[in-house]
Amino acid sequence: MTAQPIKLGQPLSRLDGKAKVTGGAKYAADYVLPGTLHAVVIHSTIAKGKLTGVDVSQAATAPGVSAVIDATNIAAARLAGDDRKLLAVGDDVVHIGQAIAVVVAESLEQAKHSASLVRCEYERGTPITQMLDPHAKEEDANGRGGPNRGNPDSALASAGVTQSATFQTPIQTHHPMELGATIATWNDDKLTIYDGTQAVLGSRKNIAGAFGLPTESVMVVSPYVGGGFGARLMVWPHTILAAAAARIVRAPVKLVISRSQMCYAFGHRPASRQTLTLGSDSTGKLSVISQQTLSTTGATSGFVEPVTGHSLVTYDHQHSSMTAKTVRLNVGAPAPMRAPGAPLGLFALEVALDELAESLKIDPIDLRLQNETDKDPRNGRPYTDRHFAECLKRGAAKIGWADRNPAPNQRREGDWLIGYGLGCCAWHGGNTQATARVRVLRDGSAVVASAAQDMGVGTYTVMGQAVADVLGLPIEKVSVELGISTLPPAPTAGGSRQASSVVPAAHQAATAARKKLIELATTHESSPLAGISGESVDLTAGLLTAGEKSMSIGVVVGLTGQPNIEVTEQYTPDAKQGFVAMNFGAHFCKVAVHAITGEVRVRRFVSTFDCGKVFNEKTAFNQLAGGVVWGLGMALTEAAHLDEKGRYASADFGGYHLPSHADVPDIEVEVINAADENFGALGSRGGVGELSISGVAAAVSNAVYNATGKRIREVPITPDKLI
Amino acid sequence: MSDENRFDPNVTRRELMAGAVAAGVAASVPAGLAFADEAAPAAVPAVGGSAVEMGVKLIVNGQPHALSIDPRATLLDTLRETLSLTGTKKGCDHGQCGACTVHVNGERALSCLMLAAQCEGDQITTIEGIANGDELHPVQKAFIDHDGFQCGYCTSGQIMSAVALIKEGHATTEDEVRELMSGNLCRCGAYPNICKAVMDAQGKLAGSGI
Repeated sequence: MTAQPIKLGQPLSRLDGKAKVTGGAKYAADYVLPGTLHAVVIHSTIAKGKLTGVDVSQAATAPGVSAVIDATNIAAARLAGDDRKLLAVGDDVVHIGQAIAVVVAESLEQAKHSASLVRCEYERGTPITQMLDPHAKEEDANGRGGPNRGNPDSALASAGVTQSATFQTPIQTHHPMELGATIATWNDDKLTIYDGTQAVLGSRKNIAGAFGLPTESVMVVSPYVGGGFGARLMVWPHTILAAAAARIVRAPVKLVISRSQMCYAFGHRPASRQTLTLGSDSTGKLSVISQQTLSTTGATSGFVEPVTGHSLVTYDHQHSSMTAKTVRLNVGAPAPMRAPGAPLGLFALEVALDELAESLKIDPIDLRLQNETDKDPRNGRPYTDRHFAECLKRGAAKIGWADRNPAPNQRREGDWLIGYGLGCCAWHGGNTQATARVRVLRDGSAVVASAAQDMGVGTYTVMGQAVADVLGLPIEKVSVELGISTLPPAPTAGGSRQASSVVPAAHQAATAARKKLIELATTHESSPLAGISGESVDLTAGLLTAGEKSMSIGVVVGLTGQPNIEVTEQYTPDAKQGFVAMNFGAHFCKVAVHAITGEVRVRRFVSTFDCGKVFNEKTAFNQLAGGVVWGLGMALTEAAHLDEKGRYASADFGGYHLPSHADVPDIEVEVINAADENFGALGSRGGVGELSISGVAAAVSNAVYNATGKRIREVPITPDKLI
Repeated sequence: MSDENRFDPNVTRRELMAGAVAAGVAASVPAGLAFADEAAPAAVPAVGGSAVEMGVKLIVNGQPHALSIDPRATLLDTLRETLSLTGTKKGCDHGQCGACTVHVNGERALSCLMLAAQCEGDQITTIEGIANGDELHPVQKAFIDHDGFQCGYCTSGQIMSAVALIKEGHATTEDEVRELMSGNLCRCGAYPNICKAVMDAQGKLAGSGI
């Protein structure tokens, strides 16, 4: 087979593809450890009140049960600090889904049955379950909204045109397909945790802290992660409980929470209500953006959804006023969910712009171009690079925007009303320090390793691609190790900055390895290339060549007498100072709304993104399209409804509607793909994972308006809002 | 069903299922008939925490397995926990996501909604059983080529559905693929690529007899 030279950026198929299509990729619950016992968590079934009694007597004597762990006996797990209170009898119950006890049994069936025998008694209180409940106390989360800029009040008073409306979004749930799952096993005071996480090092630190252990005493293994989307940035109680149970029963314990439990105790995106006001002159030049926001949070959580976080970055303006208030609901802790805040804030902003364009009688694209900027309006610093206008123009051409009738409710195909909509997205770029280790082996292959994570984002592939590119190796000769806490340190897979950190690290380590190989080959006395200048040596397909002479890199390794040569390099961000890194994009869609039933079908979706250079067109496009699918879920199907008792109306996929195959058309993704020289990091600005979700709901809502003349400011846009 | 009921210790789905289906098992598998070398269930196991096990013979990926199982064990948990065939995934345990899709006697089945005890003598095919040795099934290959996944957790189920869909003579148009694959959720949102992969594989498999 002729080896194809591998280049960063090319649409290489995933290195972990074969493992994933054959069932060979091992997720946390897939590890088979001899003697593993199964654990099930019993949790609170009321949202507010007191737990007055837990009766485990029946459960404890059920067949196969090794232990029932509750507040009375968890001390044997020797938890430290606050984690001692993980299972607290008598303490306030503040949401459904708080752990009360854990049953451990020989088989899963026995553990489940035994769990069903645990009896809990409560004194019931009255929970707060609705954002707009008059009994709910609004708390000021200012500082999260952002400071006022300029003089927003007088700017609004003097604006020729103002546009103001109120928008609402529901609680949304991450729901990665992999259930929350942990296998914990102890060897004396050393703990190994198999758990899908977006942060093997953060997870290790937190778990070690929970048991008061030195960090090195805990190893976290997470090579495959069945989706994270922010929920797996946290260590949830069930993971600590699995480790506690394993310590008590002195055997490996597997604990997999249910899909229903994931609704209550695996994070969510808060609900929000926002009033967004724009002021402009008669040509559409914006002067002021004001966004007053309210969002929910958990009963005891400090989390504030940063609704306003990306509302001021896309369009030039001088004045702004942003406020943030929160309401505590009797629900579990929220967690960062794909592009925290941005899809909510930009839903409001991008619909408001559509409304403003209509009242000004100008094209929504022209309104946006009218407010084009090459610097961050918040601080006046230049963007590292920006191609937003090009995104708008390319997308418009592709969807056939010129064909759109700006007057709503004008186009009908049978029973379907047809409309076009535009919504734009923004998400910051960024990266951080990361370390990668490259080993070149005697067989001429290379292994790159880092404590990074691949939750489906393509980390294995892009890191391997970087190494193959630098070492001139066919991709089959490169392997990648990730997701183990003992590997060289790498950042959390959050904020869409992992790839722009670890790929430069892998590239740097491979470059150092290449240099070392050439140096060895040209200086070692028994090398056929000895004495040749390093600069005249070519490295292709694993062969070092100078003129007529060549040798494989494996042979070079052999010269050292060692099994491999190894290089570990730390990458430090290399962006030029004084710039702001921000990604942008434009979504265009064509929808059909059924004139009688109000059903919304998305017929076409075209997105163009400006996110620097992508490391792999295949995996990056997939991820960008996936973000659009998330946006479609937000726009049309996803909502977690709480009833007055704090229960989700249907805590499963029957009630929480993820987009399915039939809901999703082909997503036509395009990237500008301009290497960002000012940002460095091999030209990639990061942000691919989170950029594309924002603005989608606005594009759909604006298209629905164009189709029907009905302006929908609350998602999801379900038929009841249209008929 | 309200959530409170779902967590109500007095009524669990498992109990209901165990009670309802175990009776059916007793009728279809007379004691002593299936495999003389296994301890056949002497009686319908009591609902609840009984440690009673029963014999069941499953033919998984062509390999016969004579198993002693808890009558309450689902096919999914039996594949994963007893046979260590962990390629089949648990995504909801409610028959709502499709991650656990396998073939039972050649037809798609949600293994989380079946008891292993129902599958006496059945031919079960899992994701581990569709490649021909090292040679991937055309659907597996198409999923790699078209990047029909991200995290990979739903992938086994997607592929098992797609293989059956094609075999049934469906999957001839993109709309048909989208409609008939809608029981397989993908939270990463790789649907467009999955659809392309299924169409590609369908084209290659048409008339191949696989």
